[in-house]
Amino acid sequence: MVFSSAAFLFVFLPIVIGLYYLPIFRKNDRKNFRYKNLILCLSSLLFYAWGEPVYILLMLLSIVFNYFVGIDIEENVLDEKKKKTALLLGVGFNIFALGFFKYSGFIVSSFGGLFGAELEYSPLPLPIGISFYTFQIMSYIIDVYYGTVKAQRKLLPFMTYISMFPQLIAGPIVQYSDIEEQLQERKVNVEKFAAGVIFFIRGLGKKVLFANTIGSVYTEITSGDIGKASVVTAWFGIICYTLQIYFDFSGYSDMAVGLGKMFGFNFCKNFDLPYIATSITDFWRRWHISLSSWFRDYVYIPLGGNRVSRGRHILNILIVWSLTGLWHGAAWNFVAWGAFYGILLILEKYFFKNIIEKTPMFLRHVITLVVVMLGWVLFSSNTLTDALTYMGSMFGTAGNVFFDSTAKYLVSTHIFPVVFMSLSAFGAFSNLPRTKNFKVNVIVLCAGYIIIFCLCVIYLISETYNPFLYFRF
Amino acid sequence: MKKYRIAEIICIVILLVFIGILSADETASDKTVKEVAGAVISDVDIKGLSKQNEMQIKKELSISAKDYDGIYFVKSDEVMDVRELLIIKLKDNQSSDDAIKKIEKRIKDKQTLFEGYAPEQSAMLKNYVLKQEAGFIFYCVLEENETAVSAFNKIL
Repeated sequence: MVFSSAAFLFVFLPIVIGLYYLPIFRKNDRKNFRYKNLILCLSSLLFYAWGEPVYILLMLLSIVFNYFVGIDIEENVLDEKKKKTALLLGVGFNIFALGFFKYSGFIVSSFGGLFGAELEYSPLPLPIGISFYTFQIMSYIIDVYYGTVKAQRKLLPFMTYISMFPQLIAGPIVQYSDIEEQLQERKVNVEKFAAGVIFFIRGLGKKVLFANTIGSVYTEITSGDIGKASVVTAWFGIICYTLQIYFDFSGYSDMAVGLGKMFGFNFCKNFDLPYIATSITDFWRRWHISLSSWFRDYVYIPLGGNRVSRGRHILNILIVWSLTGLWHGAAWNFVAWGAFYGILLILEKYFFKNIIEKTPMFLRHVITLVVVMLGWVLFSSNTLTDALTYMGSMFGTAGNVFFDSTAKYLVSTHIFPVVFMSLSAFGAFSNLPRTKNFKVNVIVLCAGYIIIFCLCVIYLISETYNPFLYFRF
Repeated sequence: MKKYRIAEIICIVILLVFIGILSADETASDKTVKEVAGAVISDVDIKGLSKQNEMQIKKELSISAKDYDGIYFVKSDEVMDVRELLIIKLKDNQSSDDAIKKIEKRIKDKQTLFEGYAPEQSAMLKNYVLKQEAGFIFYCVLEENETAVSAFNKIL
């Protein structure tokens, strides 16, 4: 079930909210939060089972196993050896489960390719959200090991943390330390609920009205012979994809944050206008913040971070970014995409720092955007060869014409949405003018969001093109 | 504590058994779409149906051929002929959810279109077959649905 579906919007969500806010217990009673956690947990299991009836067993097994590991680590706090064994067992289990379901096919085919043999192996389908919930679980057991958080002794709050449907299948990756207290007790009030609804509708609008609308352009371009596409077609296609992936993923994150607020949780921000970045370092401070934070806290810093020799620091960056690429998908183009950013970050930090600082801000912005778009070519292509073919068309290396009738048609039919969405992605509509009258502002805001919601519903009913790009991770 | 370690080991054993059962149950076929489609159309009559290219597939089904390992789709160009046959080979690790939802949407749309005024076509559409097996999605609306399904199962 996706958030942008009629079944979720008009059946699942209203029922869950209704049950969640049933006035069975007094507002600040602990039993009230136990009841709320139970509703959230059961509805999350139903939500997951809707699309993954078999793999729900895997998630439950993972939850139960790591619940025991957390307590095991804490129980052995004075015995370093046993404590470490429990941690290694936990990390090993999680990496094995993720590795088997996500990477076994990739490992076998790469191994076969290395020796020129075609190995017969058919991997199982990828369980939805496994990359997200596995990373959340690992953050928990590592934090328990370092004593940053206490082990959760009650299964229900722990299960609620891992399975919570707002962020279960496409993030943001919520670290246990961020919501440990909220799992026991959280602020639930009308203001927070209303803020959640606004976040949710904003995300829905980004996804349905923007990402879905513009996404078909790139699909249309790449379904033809991209090697023969004109330069303008190729650039226009990747501009559309750049907008699509941002609105798709940040829209989903907004919906997740909004749903979290509706249930009283505060999730961290996952996007901060990434396309206004003026360097690659800046871009990754603004894009998929929860993933970058995870890799920083659990891979980069344990490797030594930047408090090591220059050579070791460069190696650390390359390791972290190759893993970041691999996290996104089991294919070499994702590894290349990650390494591409790793190399760029090294260049920015060690070689071009002075040049970048002297470059005018506008030019820095343009260069960053172009580099990010080249990155999206690597990211969106099925293979490295496809990516290189696409890049070839962007720069006309195969004798591609500069402009043709396809480009004329695509640009003329989509230029207005592209300009509007670009302005939106650059934050041009972030601070719209307001009157001094608070009531008028509220009425205008509510009317605006109601219109956006109605438009989304109309689109959802009439359109079939409704994928979520980040589901496959 | 020992009891937690035992619980952890039990979970590991369950995981391995779970993986074993899934692997034994869902082994994907190594056949190509061409081979599977060839076997099916040699057993059923698809006269009057024409093969659709990538653009037509995108237009008809909202499915991008490049997202899958292979797609074979034939349909009639006649408005009142509802016969069609679709075979999709999924990529490694790929979920079938998106394609199946789109096929279901297509079936529903077609049923709505013909319901009430074209009983023959409506009946055919109600008897559609949509299944997933060994890494393939199979969908057909044919007079010989059963023959098509049995050919499909046999080749896998």
